[in-house]
Amino acid sequence: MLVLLDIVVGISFVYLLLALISTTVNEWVAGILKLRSRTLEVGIRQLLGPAADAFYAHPLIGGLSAPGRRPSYIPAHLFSSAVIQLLDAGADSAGAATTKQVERAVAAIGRTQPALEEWFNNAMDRVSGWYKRKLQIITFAVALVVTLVANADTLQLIGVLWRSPVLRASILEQARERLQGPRPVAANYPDVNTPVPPIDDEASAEDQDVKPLTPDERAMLDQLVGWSSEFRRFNQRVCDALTAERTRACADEAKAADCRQVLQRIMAETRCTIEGTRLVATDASPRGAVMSAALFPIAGRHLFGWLLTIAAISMGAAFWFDTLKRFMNIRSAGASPDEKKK
Amino acid sequence: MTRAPAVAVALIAWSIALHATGQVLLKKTFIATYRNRVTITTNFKVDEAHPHPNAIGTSSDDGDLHMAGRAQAIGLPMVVELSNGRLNDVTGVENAIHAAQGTNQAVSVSGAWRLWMEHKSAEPMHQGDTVPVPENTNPKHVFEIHPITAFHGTATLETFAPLRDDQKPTAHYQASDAETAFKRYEKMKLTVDRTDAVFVSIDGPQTPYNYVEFRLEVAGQATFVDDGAFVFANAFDLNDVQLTTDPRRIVLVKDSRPAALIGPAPVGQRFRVLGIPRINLDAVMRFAKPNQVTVVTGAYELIILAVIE
Repeated sequence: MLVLLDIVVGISFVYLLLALISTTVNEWVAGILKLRSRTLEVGIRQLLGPAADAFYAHPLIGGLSAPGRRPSYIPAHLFSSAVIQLLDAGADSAGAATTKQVERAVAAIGRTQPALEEWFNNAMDRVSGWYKRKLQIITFAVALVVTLVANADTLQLIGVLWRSPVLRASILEQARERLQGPRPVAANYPDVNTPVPPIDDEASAEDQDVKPLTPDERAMLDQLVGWSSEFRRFNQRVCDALTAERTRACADEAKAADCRQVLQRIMAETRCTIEGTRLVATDASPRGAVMSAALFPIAGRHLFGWLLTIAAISMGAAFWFDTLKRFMNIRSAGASPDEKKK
Repeated sequence: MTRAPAVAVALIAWSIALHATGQVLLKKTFIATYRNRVTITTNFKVDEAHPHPNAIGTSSDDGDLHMAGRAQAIGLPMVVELSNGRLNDVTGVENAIHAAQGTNQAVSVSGAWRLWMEHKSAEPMHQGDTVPVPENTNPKHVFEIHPITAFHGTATLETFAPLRDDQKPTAHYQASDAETAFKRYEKMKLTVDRTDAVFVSIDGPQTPYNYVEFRLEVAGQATFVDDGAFVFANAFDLNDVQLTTDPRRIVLVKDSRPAALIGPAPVGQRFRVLGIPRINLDAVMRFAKPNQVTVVTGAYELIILAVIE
């Protein structure tokens, strides 16, 4: 039972590491696409119609982001203040026609800050829903790419862990280190004269990076997932073909030139290495031709395992962090006294 | 080996089913709106209310009038509390509360928002989920409007004063011991999960000590916002032993007596006060890292109900 638990810990840990990589890529993609600010802008345009440009140009809103960029968040009280001021300015600033849609909406809900804030917050709930759906699509796509690039097949992973007690022990150690994690962060503000931080600080905090993988974790991932074994399998075919060619060419003294040529090719071939008299496959890239020919068999062999991994990574790093913690706790509770001593 | 993958996958599936604890999941938009705001105004349906305010005495005999209900804009199980309910001045408000009770009609309520893990549930509370009608005045909740500043158009700012019972002038309120309370506040570890696109999950230990009497020493200049002010201060017990390791945020409600006294006070001035703790959402967002799960300590602030002169 302990072996199974160790395998589950190992899988959870690999999922956690892959989910951390996916989260980094996700944020990067969302940042490139300016997903947050663009989705917010769609919501604002739906609310304010043609007056949205004047709204974004308002100093209260323009000040929330760098020049030429749209803000990612708009606090409800700034929204209501800006809208009220826009309506007060009326035709002078945005033009009567552009503020007409807003006038109608405000007439229906009431021209008070609480009413406008509720209107805005309700709209933002919808915007959050759109954003989440878009992000889910990106998350799934990123999980798919990460899984395929890493060849992270859950079933294969279980096999590797089942066969290697050393690897299981090493994972347990690294999982323990990862779970210890950073010490709690103390909420100590740097400046006692600034109990309310400027908005710029809030925005920049959103851009911080995810805690990266340690070199040990990267090395461990290399051992557990990747294309090395597949590559070796393809390359072995090349090596076998070269071996056959060498046998044919070098068996006959009359073909000495051919033999030399084959031997030169063998020396230059990165996909094979000579071990004694045998040609052994390396994990060098098998190159396009072999890959395309073998793509369908590979996909068939790994499809289910890949799908499991994609679904798992899509659940996010926080989920796998909690899961790993839970299984580690169960494992600690269930370990034999001798093991505990170790 | 043949059964190993199936068992491993089954174990993980079981773990997925177990993945739920009593955290509160707040919308990021809600946090962005209220992190640096003192109060909240919402339409609130009073489902349950105590017939009378608590007596004035020790600990939970705090003179509060409790009510439980629902506010669509908040979307969480919640209670609303009128502080200093034993004052003659708020009899009209109490009558209004009881008139609104059980009518299913929402009335406007304003007051200090308060997120606090005193009555948390074992299940997660997801902001925006349908909130069941509470069966009593104290359902499982982490969100409160406490103390209120207005109910159905009537201001209650006179309640921002030392707790007293106008019917029993000799009654005296004995708040939680400051040393014990601040030890818990300072040690409170909040697990903040900012990996979701829409929600921020906050979980922490069940923490009591609603009212605490202490001395504060102003540590910096106040920042005034639309509905009040924030200022950093150090906390001391009544024997002048320092209770906070670093200055904590003090929350002052606009037009209240504490705001008038503490807001313009110079650095170093001390006040004996009665405070109510709440989670500091600004600290939660400033110190919990985006896209990660972070444990934050000291992320609380104190709403000042009264300056004890």
